Amino acid sequence: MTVPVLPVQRYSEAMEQDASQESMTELLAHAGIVVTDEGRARARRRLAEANARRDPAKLEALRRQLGLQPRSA
Amino acid sequence: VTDRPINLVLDTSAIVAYTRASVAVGELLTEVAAEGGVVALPFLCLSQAATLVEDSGLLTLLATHPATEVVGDEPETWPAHAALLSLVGRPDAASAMLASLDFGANLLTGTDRLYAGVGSDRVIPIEEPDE
Repeated sequence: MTVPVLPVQRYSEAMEQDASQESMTELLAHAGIVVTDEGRARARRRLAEANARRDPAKLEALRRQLGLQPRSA
Repeated sequence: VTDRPINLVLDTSAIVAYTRASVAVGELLTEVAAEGGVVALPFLCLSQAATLVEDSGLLTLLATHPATEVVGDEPETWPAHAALLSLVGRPDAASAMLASLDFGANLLTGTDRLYAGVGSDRVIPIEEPDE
């Protein structure tokens, strides 16, 4: 049976995410780090590039070599 | 472990870089948090970083933030950890790569040479933006 995601749950998740985002700004301020919109765009780009570089077949081969269980989809 | 996706692992060098005001690390932390993801801090990396930084209060703030999670190695993965240790040369780096493989997450590091022999396609080197 599929459990429907109620709007209130989505709202709650969004609020949690907003709070996390706000506190991340505070956390970084403690360390003297200020992140600009341009910086966020740069990070988004770097993550996308890294994800595109990753080879799932290579990952599974490495996991097998190390004796780790295959990742579930 | 959190229900939210773990999208990034910080190794010791990345954790230390955060305490030293690395903008590149801050940008990636911000982006992962904004997308509802979580940043993993391997236990051994956090512990090793604590021996290298002056202000351990910053580490406490990082480790208790809702967008981060301290992760340990599972007991049964010790052979994999040992195999990785033989490749990367440091227990903390082996734990960081193991977490990266386990969560299917990218690994942020300032010491990417350590991982040249294993899993290098998932490594993001810290590159500070130009002034």
